[in-house]
Amino acid sequence: MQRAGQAAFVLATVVLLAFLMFRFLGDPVVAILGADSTGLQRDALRHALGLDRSVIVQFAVFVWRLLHGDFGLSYRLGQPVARVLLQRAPATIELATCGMLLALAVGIPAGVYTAVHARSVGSQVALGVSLLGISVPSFFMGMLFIWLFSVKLGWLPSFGRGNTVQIGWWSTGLLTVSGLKALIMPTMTIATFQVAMMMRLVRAEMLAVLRMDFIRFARARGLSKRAVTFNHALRNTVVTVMTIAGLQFGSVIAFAVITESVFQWPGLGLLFLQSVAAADVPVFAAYLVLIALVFVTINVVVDLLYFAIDPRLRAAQRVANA
Amino acid sequence: MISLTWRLGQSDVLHDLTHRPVALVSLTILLVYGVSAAIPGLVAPHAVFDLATLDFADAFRPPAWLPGGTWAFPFGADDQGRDILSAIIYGLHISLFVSVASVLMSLAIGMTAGLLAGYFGGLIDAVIMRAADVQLTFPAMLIAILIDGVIRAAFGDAVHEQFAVWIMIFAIGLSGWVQYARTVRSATMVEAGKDYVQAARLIGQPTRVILTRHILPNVVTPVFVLGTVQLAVAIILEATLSFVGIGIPPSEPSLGTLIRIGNGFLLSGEWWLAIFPGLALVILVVAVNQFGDWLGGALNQI
Repeated sequence: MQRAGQAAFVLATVVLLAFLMFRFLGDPVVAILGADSTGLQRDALRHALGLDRSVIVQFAVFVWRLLHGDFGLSYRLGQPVARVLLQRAPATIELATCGMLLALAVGIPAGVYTAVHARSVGSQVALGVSLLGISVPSFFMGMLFIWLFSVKLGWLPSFGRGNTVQIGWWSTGLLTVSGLKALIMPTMTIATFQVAMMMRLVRAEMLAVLRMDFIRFARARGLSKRAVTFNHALRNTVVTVMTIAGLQFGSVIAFAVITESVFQWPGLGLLFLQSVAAADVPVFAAYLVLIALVFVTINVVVDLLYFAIDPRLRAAQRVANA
Repeated sequence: MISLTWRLGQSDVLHDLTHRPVALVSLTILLVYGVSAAIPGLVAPHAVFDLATLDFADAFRPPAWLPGGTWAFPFGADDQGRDILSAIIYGLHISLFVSVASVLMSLAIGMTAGLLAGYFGGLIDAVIMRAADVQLTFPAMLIAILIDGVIRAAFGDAVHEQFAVWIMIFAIGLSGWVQYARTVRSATMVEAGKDYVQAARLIGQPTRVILTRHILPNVVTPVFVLGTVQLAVAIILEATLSFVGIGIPPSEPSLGTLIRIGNGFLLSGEWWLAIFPGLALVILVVAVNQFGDWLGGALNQI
């Protein structure tokens, strides 16, 4: 409940900030009509846009329009912001999801392995590599991939999304060979940091659980190493790992901005950067609100999943209610 | 500050340092980088910004160990015949200036906010901590990009280009204050309840003095560790923003700007323009992180 209130507060603040930017950064009338428009034309448009009303009324109208998915017009593209965002969203969602899945698929097993076989050579190598994964900035990692796989080997395309297939409003690159090929390097770039991070966090959590008494007891009962590792230890790390994964998904979306720029991937992140570089306020204000919504939703979902997964929390809740 | 220096002298931190090869190597690398960045004009073999010294015959000269390379240009030259090594050293000057200054700015904002929130509590605490919550919702990278965009929209491109270095410092500095504020706040809340603070209050010390002379020295140790970690983050942020084209402009390139420029030549085969500045960046970040790791462990012991 408290978390939900906090989430609502964050969203409200972000919407207010977006409105302030939208309203007070630059003059939208000049941005739309151009610098050589007459005063009469500007007044007419100002009235048509409702900019001559009081700030409170304008804010109410702004919120009302947001709730209806109306984010105004992009200065740079001359199109409704909502349509532009919708066009660009599938590319980012596909990239972020693939990156996240790769990070989970490699990071969790690697974390478990390095915790269970802490002293093996493989673990030391994995930890060393993960240090590099954390220290190499993602744009440079992307560049190294392009240099290796596009320039030296010529295997993969260095930019773009390849051919996409349109399914309703959703454009997917997952159904064509060129789309899949174009997805490989951006996914690897976005996942590198996350794999390293995930591995280190899972390892730390596993090590903490493995030191507990019930693990020693399980071993004393003569259970196989496999059963102890997976049924006892790993199960008890699930809640933490899930929290990490949720928060990581947020940072994947943030890192998508950089990865999309390196590979000219036509997603929301690239749109955000282009609109920042062109001072296209409606677009980046809308992006801000959208990202805030995504982050807040992730946080709330993770909180709810706690209850679904951890029986202790459900029991505590029942006790509190009774 | 004095007490921390004294405690450093009393402890065996420096002895510990000489027995940690990784920390020692990192420190050496940081010293070399720091000195080169501080006096690039004396360290760099070529004056890369003096157009008169450039020779187009040197354009795209490969690194020294490749055919056509010469040791006058150890890492090769760019499209205008600039020595890459010298460009890296000058770029380092900008990169380190921006990242160190922005860390200091985060530190100043964060420590002030944390001290005030922790000491006074109540409304001040609520306002500062809610602001921190909102900011923590977004990764620092997005905040920095956004601040950059807001400044660009408010003042225009020309002004942005002219003050790019300061805008970068402001954007990165403002994106990183929350961690310091949280750390200092919780430490201040603990210290504020202790007897010495009570005593200082009873003898009528003004609040400003209690905060800066009594509490601050006792909450500052974890801030140093955080500062090193954040320095690595700031270095990466500056490089990333410059790389995507909204940071430091090419007229006075930082490491990130150099990599951005070099990126344009990657596909045509002149890889050294981008790869060497990139390696210089990675080595710097690894050294800062390793040194920070060691420092965190060492300061915990005192």
